[in-house]
Amino acid sequence: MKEKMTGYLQSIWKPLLAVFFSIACSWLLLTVFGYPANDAFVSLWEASFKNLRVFGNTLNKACPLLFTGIAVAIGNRGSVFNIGAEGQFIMGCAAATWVGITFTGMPGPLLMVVMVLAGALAGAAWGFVPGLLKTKFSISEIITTIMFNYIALQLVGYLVRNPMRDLNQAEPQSYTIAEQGFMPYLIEKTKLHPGFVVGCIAAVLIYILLFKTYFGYEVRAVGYNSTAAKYGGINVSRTMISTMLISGALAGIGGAFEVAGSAHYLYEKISNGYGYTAIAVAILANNNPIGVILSSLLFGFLASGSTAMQRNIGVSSSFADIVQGIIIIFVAVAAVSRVKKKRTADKKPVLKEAKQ
Amino acid sequence: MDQLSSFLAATIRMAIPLLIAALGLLVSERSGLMNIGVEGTMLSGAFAAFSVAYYTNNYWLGMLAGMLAGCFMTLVFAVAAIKFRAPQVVIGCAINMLGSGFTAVLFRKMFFDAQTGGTQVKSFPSLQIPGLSSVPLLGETFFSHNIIVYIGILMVPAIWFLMNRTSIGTRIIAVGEHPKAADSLGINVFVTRYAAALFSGLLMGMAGAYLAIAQSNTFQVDMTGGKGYIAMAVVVLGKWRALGVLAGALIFGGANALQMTLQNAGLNIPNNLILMVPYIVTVLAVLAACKQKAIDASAKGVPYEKA
Amino acid sequence: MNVVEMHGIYKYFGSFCANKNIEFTLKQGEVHALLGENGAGKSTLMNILYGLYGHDEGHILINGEEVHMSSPSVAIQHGIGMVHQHFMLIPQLTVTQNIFLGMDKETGIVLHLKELEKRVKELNDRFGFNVEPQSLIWQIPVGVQQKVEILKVLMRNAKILILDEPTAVLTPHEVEELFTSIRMLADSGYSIILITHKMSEVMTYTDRVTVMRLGEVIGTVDVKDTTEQELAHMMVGRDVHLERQLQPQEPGKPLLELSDLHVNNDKGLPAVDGISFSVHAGEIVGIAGVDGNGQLELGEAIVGGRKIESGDVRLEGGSVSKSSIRRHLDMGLAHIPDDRLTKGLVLQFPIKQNLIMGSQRKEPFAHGLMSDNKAISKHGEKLVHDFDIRPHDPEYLAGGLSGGNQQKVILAREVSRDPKVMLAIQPTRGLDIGAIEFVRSKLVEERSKGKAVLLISTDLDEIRSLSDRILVMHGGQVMGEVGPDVAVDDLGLMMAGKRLDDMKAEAAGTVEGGAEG
Repeated sequence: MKEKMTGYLQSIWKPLLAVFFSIACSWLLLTVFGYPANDAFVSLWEASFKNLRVFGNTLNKACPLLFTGIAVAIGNRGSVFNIGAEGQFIMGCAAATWVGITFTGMPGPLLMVVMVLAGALAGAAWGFVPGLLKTKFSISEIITTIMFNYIALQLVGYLVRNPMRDLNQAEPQSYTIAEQGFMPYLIEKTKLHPGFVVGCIAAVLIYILLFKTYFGYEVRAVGYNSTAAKYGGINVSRTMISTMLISGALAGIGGAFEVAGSAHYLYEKISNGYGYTAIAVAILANNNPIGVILSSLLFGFLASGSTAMQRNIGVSSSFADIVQGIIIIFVAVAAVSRVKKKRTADKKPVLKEAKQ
Repeated sequence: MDQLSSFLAATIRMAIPLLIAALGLLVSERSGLMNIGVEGTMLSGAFAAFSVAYYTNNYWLGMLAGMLAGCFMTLVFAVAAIKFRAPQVVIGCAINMLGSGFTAVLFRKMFFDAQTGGTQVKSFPSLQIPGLSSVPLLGETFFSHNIIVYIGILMVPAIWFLMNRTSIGTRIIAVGEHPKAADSLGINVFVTRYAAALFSGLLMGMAGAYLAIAQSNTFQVDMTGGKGYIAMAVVVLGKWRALGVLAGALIFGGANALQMTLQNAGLNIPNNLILMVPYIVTVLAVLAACKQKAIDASAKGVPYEKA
Repeated sequence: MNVVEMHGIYKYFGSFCANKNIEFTLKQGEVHALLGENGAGKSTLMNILYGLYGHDEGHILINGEEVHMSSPSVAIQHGIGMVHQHFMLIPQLTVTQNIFLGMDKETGIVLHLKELEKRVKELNDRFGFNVEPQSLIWQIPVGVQQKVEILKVLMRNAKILILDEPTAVLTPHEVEELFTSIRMLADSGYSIILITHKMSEVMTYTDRVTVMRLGEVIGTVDVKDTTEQELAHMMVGRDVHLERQLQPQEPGKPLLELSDLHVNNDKGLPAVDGISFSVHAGEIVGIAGVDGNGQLELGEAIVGGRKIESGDVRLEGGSVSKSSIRRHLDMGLAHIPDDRLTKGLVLQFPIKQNLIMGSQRKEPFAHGLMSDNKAISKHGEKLVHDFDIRPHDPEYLAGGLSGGNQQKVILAREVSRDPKVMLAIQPTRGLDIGAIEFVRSKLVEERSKGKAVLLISTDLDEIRSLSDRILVMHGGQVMGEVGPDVAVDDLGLMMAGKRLDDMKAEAAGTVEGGAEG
């Protein structure tokens, strides 16, 4: 038990250090850009933790990041670099909206479940195609998933301007979903919907799937060394496609919760780049689904805070992108420096064998 | 006839940023660096070019600034990927976020009033080449572009020559293909990769600058709109060869031009569906190209470590 | 005159001492063999001389002058050139581009290919190499690639050539050609160091020999004053008897059967070209041959990792030619792959998880979907002790193990599955002597347990000491089947592409036939 605790501590201090460095860098950047950095951080803090209402809002922002973050994490574990969580999330939103505005006669709980299922299906489908192209034609999933993001974005643009358009609104957006499909708020006066709780459960389940089942064993084996996995009798293509399906479904479920719990209708910017931020979320958590819960909170905090920063001191909310980028670089560099140290320490006997 | 020549001219205009960025990426990838941060690097180039052109009122200085900004972004990538051996795809993602974030924040800071009005700068004028530009069809297609278009096209033989007929090119290929062999011949793998990265940054920055101060005359947040990613597809499609990259860029330029032509044609097709065209073409083109043999660097994405 | 002197060289990798107090001299114009087993420290020493590794103690004199070998470029400046065992050529570049790679001072930035090709041709003619300067490396055969390597070194004005196991991938005929060229070089004043563990090459082709064992120099002798037995004794520290470890045993029914098997290589060309044989219970069948004659593809096809174009593979009578790898494993095939690092292990997994690869879905390691970590640990605990995998810790990452222990992990995994057929491809390549003996004894043990063992190896000694029957492969075909007591010369001829039937016919036809080789 004690060993486990030190293990956890060791796995957490590097990301923490990276976050700390990133905050320092951000402070410096804000100052250099001529913004009052202290005020910026105060408004960042207040926007997220001042009271229960804003804290609920933070959790709300964290929810889509939680789902997309787990989606990216499981992909990374299986060496499918899913940059497509964005598109899968958007497709989840679109499918859930379609269900919500089509089956208006359905009882509430059933409608919610169907919306989530529709989101999962749409997301999985959006992940399946790049997965198939990767395994069958060895086309890099990086290019295809990104292209699918843009296609999804334009598709939603089309939906909210044409078939789903609510003409009573000035801006292009869809009809509002049936009211019984609105997810209830968990805490009064906050917009906290059940999505975050379901997301936490999903994180635990995916953790179990990855680390406590033979399927997870196969996913990780393929991720580390697909050739060895192949010769160990694992069907590499099937495993990769399953990984993409699960990954896409998770992102799609995130989209469904965003619609049913928060937005209640579809619009073009519904994602706000969650799927891209998810990459940072997953990497900060070292692709551990449980860690994703924590890191999605951090980035949710950043997301809600950056809007406040823009409102209060005028710095563009895109400042969050800079912070994300810096965090990724620090975490990636820190993680590798750890691996490297271990490798050089263990390498010698291997080296000695290999040289003659 | 007129429509055809303006379609062809648009094809070339739209192909150029993809071409220039993809040529840069080609050099970077053949040296073994898998930089997916093209999008962010191009954005930085676009913003730097725009702002310097705005303050100096000189588009050449703007271009220079754009190239240097691109170079800076790839330097960040290179240090993380080469020195610290961080996973290149991850760092590329971070570069894209940094590019998007920095340009948006600085744009708001420096041109806040401009956001709504759209501040414009003096951009590269199109050169009507005397005599040639009035030839029917060919004139508009080939001889009425701004100077960067011609520079971009001339860069195709230049990069071909660099890669195939100079010792620099063979060094780049060697460190991408078999870094250990290169090292054993006294070639410095790290220096070669840094150089390739920085050179690619110059070109990516130039491609971004083209978007801001040659193709248009202003900057918009996230104005690259995925062109950096499409440039990655162009390299795949061009099989890591300069001429192939030209062909690939023209295909995507054509897809973009088609999208514009359709939009202008006043057809009853929803705009968003037309805007999908380039992205769908990308997927289909990469799918069509995947069966053929390519010469991608075998050590791509793998950090080099001395024994 | 000594062109190279190395005095008191020490080299440590961590706490492991790879070179201990080495004394080594090279005279001008000699061919000097550096002889030793795998892991004796030969390559380490030469990598130090070539500036690839730094050394911890000692000094190096080149032409009587002390030189600090900080990098290969320093070595090149002092006229040292090295031809590595794994060729250092860029497949995408031409012969000429490869030869002049990194020689900017000579070529300038812009390569005048015509002129450079002419210079390659001149050098070519001088030493009787016939290499086409414009060919791309990936298009030319291995033997020619090696000549390109030598040309590369000569073009850099090297006077001292280090050749690291140059004959490993050559046919006997190509070996002959190579040594003719080497002798020609030595006669025109070049000095050559030959790293090898093949006694016959030392005796036939070299002038002096330095024997290394476990990181130390045992001695340097003139070849004409020594015998194979003496060298062998120096090399291994005891008299070597290539004794057969097999007890006579009656083979049982056929467990692995191949009929008219055709398989293509990665380039889509035929690699296995109509091979049929069977392996019976309780016997070891050895497949001998020079690297690259279709053995790898044959092995991959048998486990189901490579598409079978036509023909059939049967395990215990059931056809598996269209089955997945998992089905092969389930049908009782065990597989020791040729490359343990890429095909055999997940280096980032602990030992215990590597030990269940292939059985991860089966009881007791999984109940339904859930893995049973306790059962996996218990299994790991047992096997690390049974197979003496060090450290005795099933949680240790496979990537941190020595090569011998990594191979033991694979062996333990495959044996513990209680297979019917064991396919072992190059099972001892790159291992130290202790591990080699361990692996071989385990294969023999499987044979006595009544398993069918197919051993694919390029190591002739291994094949001859372990096999009940030997098949020799060349160009994707079997040249013939012989017993373990076959003469090495005959094996050599078959490996070079001569059919056993033809040899027999020749021997019957003419009295003095079959003397070449």
